[in-house]
Amino acid sequence: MFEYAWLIIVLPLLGFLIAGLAGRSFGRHVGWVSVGTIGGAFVVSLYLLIEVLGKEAIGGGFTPVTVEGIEWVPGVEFNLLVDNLSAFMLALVSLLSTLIALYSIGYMAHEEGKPRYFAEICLFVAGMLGTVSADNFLQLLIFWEIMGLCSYLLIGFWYHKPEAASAAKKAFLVTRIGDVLFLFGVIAIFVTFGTLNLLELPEKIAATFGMPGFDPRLMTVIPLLLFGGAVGKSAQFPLHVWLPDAMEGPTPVSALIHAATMVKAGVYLVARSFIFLVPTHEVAPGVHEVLEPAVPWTAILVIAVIGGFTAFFAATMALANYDIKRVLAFSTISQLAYMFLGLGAGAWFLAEHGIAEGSTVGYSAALFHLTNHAFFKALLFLAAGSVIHAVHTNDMREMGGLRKHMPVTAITMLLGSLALAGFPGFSGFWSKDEILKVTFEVGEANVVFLALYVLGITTAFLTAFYTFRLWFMTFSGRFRGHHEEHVHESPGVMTGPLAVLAVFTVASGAFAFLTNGWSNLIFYGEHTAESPLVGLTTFPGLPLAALSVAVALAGIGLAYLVYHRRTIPAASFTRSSAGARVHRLLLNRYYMDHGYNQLARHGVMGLAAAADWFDRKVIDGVVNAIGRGGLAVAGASDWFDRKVIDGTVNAFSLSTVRGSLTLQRPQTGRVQNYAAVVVLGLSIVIVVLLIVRVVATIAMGGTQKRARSIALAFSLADTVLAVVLTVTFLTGFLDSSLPGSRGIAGTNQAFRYYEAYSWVPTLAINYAMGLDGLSLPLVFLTPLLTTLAIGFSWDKEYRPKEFFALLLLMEWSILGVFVTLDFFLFFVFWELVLIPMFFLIGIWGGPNRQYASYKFLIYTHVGSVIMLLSIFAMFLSAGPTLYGDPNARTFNMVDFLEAVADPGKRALLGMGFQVPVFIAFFFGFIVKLPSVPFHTWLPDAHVEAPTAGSVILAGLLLKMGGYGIFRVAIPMLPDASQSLWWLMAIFGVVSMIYASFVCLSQVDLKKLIAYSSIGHMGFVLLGASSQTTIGVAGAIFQLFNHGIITAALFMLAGTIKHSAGTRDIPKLRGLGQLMPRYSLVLIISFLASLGLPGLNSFVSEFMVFTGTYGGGPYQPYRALVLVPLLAVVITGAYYVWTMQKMVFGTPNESLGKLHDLKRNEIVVYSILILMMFLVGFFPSLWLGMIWDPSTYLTGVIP
Amino acid sequence: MALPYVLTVLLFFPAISAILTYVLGRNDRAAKWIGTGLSLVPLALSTYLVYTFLAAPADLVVQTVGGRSYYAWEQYSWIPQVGISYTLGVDELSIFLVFLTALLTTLAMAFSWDAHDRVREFYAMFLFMETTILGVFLSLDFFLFFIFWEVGLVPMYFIIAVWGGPRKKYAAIKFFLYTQAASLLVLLGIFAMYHYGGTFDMTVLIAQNPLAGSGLSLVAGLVFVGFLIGFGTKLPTVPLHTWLPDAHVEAPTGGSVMLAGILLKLGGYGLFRVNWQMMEETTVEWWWLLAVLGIVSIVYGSLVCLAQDDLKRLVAFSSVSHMGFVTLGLAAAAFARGTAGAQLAFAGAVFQMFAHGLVSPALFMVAGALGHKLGTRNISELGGIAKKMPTMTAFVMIAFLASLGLPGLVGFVAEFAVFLGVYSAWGFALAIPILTVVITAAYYIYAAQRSFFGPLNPRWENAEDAHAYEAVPLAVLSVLFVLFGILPLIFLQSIYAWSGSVVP
Repeated sequence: MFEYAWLIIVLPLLGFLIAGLAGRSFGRHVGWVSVGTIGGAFVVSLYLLIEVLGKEAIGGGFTPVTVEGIEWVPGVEFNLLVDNLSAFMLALVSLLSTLIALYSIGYMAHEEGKPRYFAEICLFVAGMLGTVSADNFLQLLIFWEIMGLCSYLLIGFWYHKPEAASAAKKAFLVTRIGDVLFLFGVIAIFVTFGTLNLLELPEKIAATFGMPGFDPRLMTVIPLLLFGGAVGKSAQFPLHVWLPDAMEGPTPVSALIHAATMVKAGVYLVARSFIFLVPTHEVAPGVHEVLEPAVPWTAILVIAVIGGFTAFFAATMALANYDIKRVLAFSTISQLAYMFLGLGAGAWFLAEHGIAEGSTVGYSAALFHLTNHAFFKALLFLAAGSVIHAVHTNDMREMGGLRKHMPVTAITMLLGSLALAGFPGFSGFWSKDEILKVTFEVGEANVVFLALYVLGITTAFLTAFYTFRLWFMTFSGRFRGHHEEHVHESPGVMTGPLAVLAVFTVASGAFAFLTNGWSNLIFYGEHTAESPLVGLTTFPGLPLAALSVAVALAGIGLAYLVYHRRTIPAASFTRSSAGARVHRLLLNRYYMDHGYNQLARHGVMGLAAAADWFDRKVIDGVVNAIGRGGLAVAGASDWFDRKVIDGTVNAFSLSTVRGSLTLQRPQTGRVQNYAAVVVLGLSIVIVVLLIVRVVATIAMGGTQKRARSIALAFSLADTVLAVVLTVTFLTGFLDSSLPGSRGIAGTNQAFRYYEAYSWVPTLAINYAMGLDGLSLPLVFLTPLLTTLAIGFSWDKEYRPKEFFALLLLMEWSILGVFVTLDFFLFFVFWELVLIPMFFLIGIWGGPNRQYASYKFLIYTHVGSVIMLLSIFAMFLSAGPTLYGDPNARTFNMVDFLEAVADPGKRALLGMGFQVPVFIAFFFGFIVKLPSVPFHTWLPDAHVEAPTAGSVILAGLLLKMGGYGIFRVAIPMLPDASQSLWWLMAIFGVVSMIYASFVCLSQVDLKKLIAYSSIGHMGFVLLGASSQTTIGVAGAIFQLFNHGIITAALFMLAGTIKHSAGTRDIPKLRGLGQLMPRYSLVLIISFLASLGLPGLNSFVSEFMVFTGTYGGGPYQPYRALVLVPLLAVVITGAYYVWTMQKMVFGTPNESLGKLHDLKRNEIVVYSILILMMFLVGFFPSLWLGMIWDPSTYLTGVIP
Repeated sequence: MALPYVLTVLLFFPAISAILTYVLGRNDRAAKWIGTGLSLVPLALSTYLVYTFLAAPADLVVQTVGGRSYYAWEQYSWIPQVGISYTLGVDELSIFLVFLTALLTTLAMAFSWDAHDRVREFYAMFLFMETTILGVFLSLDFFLFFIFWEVGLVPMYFIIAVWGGPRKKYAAIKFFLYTQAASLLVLLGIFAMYHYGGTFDMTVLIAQNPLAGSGLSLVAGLVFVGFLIGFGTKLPTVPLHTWLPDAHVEAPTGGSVMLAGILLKLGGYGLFRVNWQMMEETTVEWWWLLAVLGIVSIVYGSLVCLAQDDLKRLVAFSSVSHMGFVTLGLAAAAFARGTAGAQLAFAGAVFQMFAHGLVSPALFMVAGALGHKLGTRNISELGGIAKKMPTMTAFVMIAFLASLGLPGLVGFVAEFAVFLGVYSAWGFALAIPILTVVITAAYYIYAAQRSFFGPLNPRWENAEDAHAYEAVPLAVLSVLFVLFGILPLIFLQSIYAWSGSVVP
């Protein structure tokens, strides 16, 4: 019906947008945008009001109408509510706002920032219009807050004035406290009653009240929360402090805030909350009665008392102030308080007497006073603005005698003052008197209201006095300021609105009569066309009215005597010490502002400072302490590693051979020197020596340079073969031309391309070879890494022939370990591996190569010897036992596997056999792996080894240990491996944690990488211990992944040593600038190594953890997975930290100019990084191989 | 019309763009244009996705698992041995965050137009980060999820460590280690989920709630707390938040935008997706922990804000406070499960992520721009700069107001819904979080008064106002504040409906 009503809000919003976004293009005429849009809103409002009145709003025949809008959040729609109150408020607000906007054009003519000003005015008005037309409390709140925002912006319009900025802040924050209470109330309403709609709520309240589960206290709390919002917005005690300061904004803004918008919204809100104050229910169709048990008497009383008290309280402060606008501000607080008093008393009266003729008079009186006050306060403010505009001061002590200079202002302001003072016949008189009468009437029922009446009537006296104090100080007597000649009347655009307002000020009082008592227009509750609600008649009229008139006249008279005639000098009051004290108290506003400031500064800000301190020192302190603690542990671990573990090793094994070691440089013939210690390896070594010579001289005869090409060709060919083999394994396309497979009965495990020939029949030694998913990835990796190592060492200058030959020999021997399936051959290759590595370290190594190479050889050889004991045990004891025949001896691994797979035969291998053999195997393998504490050969070997040696060592040699565990230790001794899972777990976890801490305190990049290898191999043991397929597969996969990553890492260490001459991390800074390509490779490799998801090693580590978590043996200790996970954090720490130190920062000048990666290096690194990504993205290819042996391994464990 | 592979394209296009930007961005100008231009493609795709999702969801490939629908579904076997698949899909929870990610990436890159140090790396890093973040929101396989979750640390680490402020090294490594440590608890939780649920498929885990069985309450509690710590660190919630202020203070503006706008949301997303959806019963049991964390974050964060001098630090702590609403909303939903209030609280908490994702970038943009233009962000050293920077001040005020929850702007909607939920759960205990709103207003308004208003500090006599490349992203965000403040239902409708099904 009233769809066009939306225009009332939309027009000012449009004004806001136009003035705000395009205001500059209007130049000084931008004000007309505001006037036009707000004026338009007024025209529409007026039309709406007329239409509403035409539908018998006065007679009560009009039912409120909801104008559809939008749905905002589920359950809350934004609609307009058109009823007699909102229609009236819309017209009132838009009228006043139009006038104020018009006035602003003149007032702000010479100010900068007009577009901003007028845009904000428009938004402000839109906010108020939205507030008074909202159909639910939330919508009301939203527009209410928009208004709060605009008041903030406009009070701080002259933001460069500190006072304005501070006043704006104060206004926003103080009203915000009220707003939050209001919000609280809105929430409580919605949750309690399920709606916020003003029209639906009365029925909902009636329906909900008294229901089980309904807390009746809510009926008191909700209106009080809403009132809290009103207290803030309408500046009532104790949140009144913002309003007197708010006059720092331009005067028209003050007029807007005090007269038409903002503070009036609070009164409006309380009027709307009559739904709760005087709840009604329908007793018969169309007949409503007060729901008496639900009436919140306490809430009503609180509202009335706050009103009555604030009226008096604010009026006293107005008495002493000299600032013309502040006086008016205090008067606003006081007058608004009257309205709250009226609403409170009116609610009480209504609740007590029921909805009947005349009973809504208090409600109506308050809104009547709101209307009157709007007109006269707008008039007073604009007149005061006119005065300030003329004299450029707010201080009334510098005014006086302005009547003759500014006649229009003086007269209009006199009219406004008379209205404010309650002079009979003027508007303020009627409405204030009605409020007081209601209060008096309710006093019969509750004596508190009688006291409030006394306060009210006293306030009336004070009001009359301070109003005329103001008028006389300003307009009568002599001018007390400066430059009287400049004082002149304001322009027509300002005085025009004054005149219009003056008319309304005078006329709005008479309006009461014209509408047959104001109560007919604005009423609450029942409305009956037949019996118009006439308020005044039932009240004891005359005596009270006479008293009101008397006090008003007395106040005006006193002001006349003091400030016009000066028969009673104003100073006489302050002469007595008590009077002076009171005066000071009033002037300082009862020190409440001061108190609030102190509370904010020392209370809230103190708390904030304490919280900040706590955050920096305690919470962040703990975080940093954990970091520092980690470093301390790292330092201690490093010390322990060097002094204790390695010290012990040295004391034990090396002291015996130290003498001989120091005699000569290691040459090929020096092998005999340790032969005495390592008796068992002798024969093998001799054989190998021959082979080295043969390979080096025959295969690589010719120039030294050609050696590298030949080596590369051989290893490349090998790589191609490995690739073909892998592809065949996966797809089977060459299967027909290769040897067949040998399965293990009773399992899914099979060795493909299995060849077995009898070799030394007397000793049951076979030449047996075959591949499965466990060995294939490693077989793939071996030639690949060898090729890359050759490529990386392309520029080797010192004896390249031997160097490359040894690399090839190494490749051959490692491959042998992975493909042979006969224990004898296995061990031969296992030992053979040591030789080329020994020479690589001993000849091409760093300064300490002697020590390192011997340590490597002896240490790992000791491990091998113990492993050999186990092989003998298998040969001599396990074979005969399993086959029940003392002569059934075999070295063939597959035979053992097959026998053990049969539960009946396995049972023959008692734990007494399995456990010691397992431990011996295990020891041999974890020395190779290596696992803490049998690891100290590794850092030395790496540090001294040439890069290619390190690559092979870490990438392939260590994998032999892991391979052995999965090939031999677990499947051949399943019972032992099942019950000794904890042994593997402990070695694994200790390696992970320990190595990562040691890494944290390394300065040599290569040593760091060496230790990180130890940590990463810990995953293998952890996965092995899990006894789940996924964990074992992860461990096997980890062997492969680590091979790729660690190769890149050791190459990186080699490159930087070559390029910068040092691997000392602290000396390497700013490599990101010096060697960008190198840095990129470094970053990616580090990230891969720390297990960044998406790169290869994450997959395997993830699987290991998953398996460990789900592993049977771990069932009771599941949460302890957190411990190895901690190692991942520390790994992250040392890598990121190292990366940060090396890559970032300013370059170290002393390093000179560094060359970035060479071509061959780029190729090598590219392949490795590509592998990291490919395996990371498509792990299923590799897992496809690994999965079968893993299920076999977990299946074989009982 | 259903675009095939739309999510895969959306997910990897930024990563490819990163490479293109790096390779083709031969000079700074080219890198900026290429990078920003390419980022429009995922933005367009995600806009299409959101639009289709809202207008005609049936046009997308819909997969329903356990009664829940996932859209634009793609599933391919990936690591079949371990039961890991490449599964992508969006639903009401993730789709708006996907849109936000694409939007903020473009805006952050546009806002960084004055970058001059290693520009192509910088722009490539943003695009790479976009892929990682999108990955988290799109993945419906735990393994894939965790990959993106962890990889996301890397670009952010570099953005802080390379382009950061004076203490960038400390901040970067703190960020990396702190959040990585927390991620490990997430990983542990994933293991547990896999162990008891037998799958990494998040949709199945959501449908089955494997830890809900009797006799598992201890395990479930531990896993819940582990996830909570992991996601809570990212969120962040007090007391796991101290990486955030340092990271923000040192990060370049674009980095802060992404960090606050999106990276924090990963934590909230995890709380909803994992803690709630996969372990609903446990969440209900542990509501009190969520509630305490939420309340403490809200109150403590805002108090600390009040004491900050560095604007960026202030904004960082305000994020802590605002993300507390997410935790609190979840707590209320858990406590009052089954009521209308719970639905509101849940929807509010989800929407808060979106709202904060719009507002905090604007805050960091203005804070960063001030620091960049003036050389300081310290409130005590600013003063009166509104006079010299009216446009920037206008944006600052809009962002401040949106952040302090002014009705009519986007932040209010979310907070209001959470408040409703909190009230319906705990009644007048709402007083604590709701009164904090006053403190929030106080620190913003107090900061505004001291830094922008009052007399102009003569040091800033020559300060320049916002450039176009700064004003445009801020304007876009400001328009969105208003749009989603007035018409939140555009997104909230489906979030609310979904919340109803998630909080039965």
